[in-house]
Amino acid sequence: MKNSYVRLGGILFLIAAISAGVLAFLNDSTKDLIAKNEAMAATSPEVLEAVMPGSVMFNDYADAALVETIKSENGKFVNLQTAVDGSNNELGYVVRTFSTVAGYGGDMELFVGISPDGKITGVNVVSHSETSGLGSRTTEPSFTSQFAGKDATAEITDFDAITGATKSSKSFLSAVNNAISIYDQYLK
Amino acid sequence: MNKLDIFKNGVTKENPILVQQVGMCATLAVTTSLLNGIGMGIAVIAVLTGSNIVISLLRKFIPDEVRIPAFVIIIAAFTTIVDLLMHAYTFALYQALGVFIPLIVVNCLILARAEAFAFKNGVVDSIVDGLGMGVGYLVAMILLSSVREFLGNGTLFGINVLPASYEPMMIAIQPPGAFIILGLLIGLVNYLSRRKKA
Repeated sequence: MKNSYVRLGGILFLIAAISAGVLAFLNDSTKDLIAKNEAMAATSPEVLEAVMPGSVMFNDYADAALVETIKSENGKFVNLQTAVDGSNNELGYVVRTFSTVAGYGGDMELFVGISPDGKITGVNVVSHSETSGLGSRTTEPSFTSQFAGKDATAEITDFDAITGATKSSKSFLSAVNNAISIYDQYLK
Repeated sequence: MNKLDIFKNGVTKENPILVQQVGMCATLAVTTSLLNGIGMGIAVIAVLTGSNIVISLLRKFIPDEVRIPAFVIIIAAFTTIVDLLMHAYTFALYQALGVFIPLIVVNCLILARAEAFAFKNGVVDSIVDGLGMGVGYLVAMILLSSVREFLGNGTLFGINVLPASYEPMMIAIQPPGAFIILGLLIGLVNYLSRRKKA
């Protein structure tokens, strides 16, 4: 009886070990491509233009200690970067943050561009799990463009939500407001 | 049963969605657009055929007592393979399907075919069964997602096919619409198959 347990366990172990080996190999051979996809999706030219018009790149923020401080104090904050143009002039801040109010598919992740004089330059969705065709419309320029030019010194309460996707729209807004609060607290 | 019968069995007589009604959660969730439906269908074909092959090859090696955990490991491995490959090579589709690719692992269709067919039949028959069931799944996904995208968005493959004056029937791409349209589709299939018999 005891022997059969060992045999059964051994066979399962063998199957699991071979599966794990195959997956490890595949993971290794695809991970560079996956990282490249993710990076390109995050900062493609369209995203750069949408978040901070005129920018060609997002650089890491110079004061790394401040970024760590914000991370530890604001649970939804992901990263703070500086947008630069072709001749390396700083154009403004780029806050990457999750929403503080969940949408239908959990938190949405956004880039929020804020100019040094405290105006939102643009917003772009990094990742979301909202319903395709409904909540996913919050990623479209027709919705996101309404935030450009708004004041980043006070929480935004007045905005046009997407019909049929109020919850996703509110989740989106909460991420924008989280970026605004980070700007007000640490960068102003 | 000859090979053609096995294949046809999966597509029509025992169509996984329209007749057996297994693995409904992902079906209802991702069929909001035609492209998603097709992408999901192809991913399921890959996992189903792959796991059918391996389980059929190992059917004499896997003891009866631990066959279910063994199936789960093999299916999970194939799902992860598909997940990684889609993440690397079809990134836009990967983003659109999101969490439903990893969830293929709990699609009971795949476990059901492992248990009911691949574990008892040879490799070639199991491949044909996997393809047949997979194509049946894909066909049903195409039907459901094209109706939903057409009514709910006025588009197919994201391209407008209805005049701009068309007011999208929002419910079609919301979860309740998935149930209603799937129910109508199953009703239609039942009606047609009964009329054929009579």
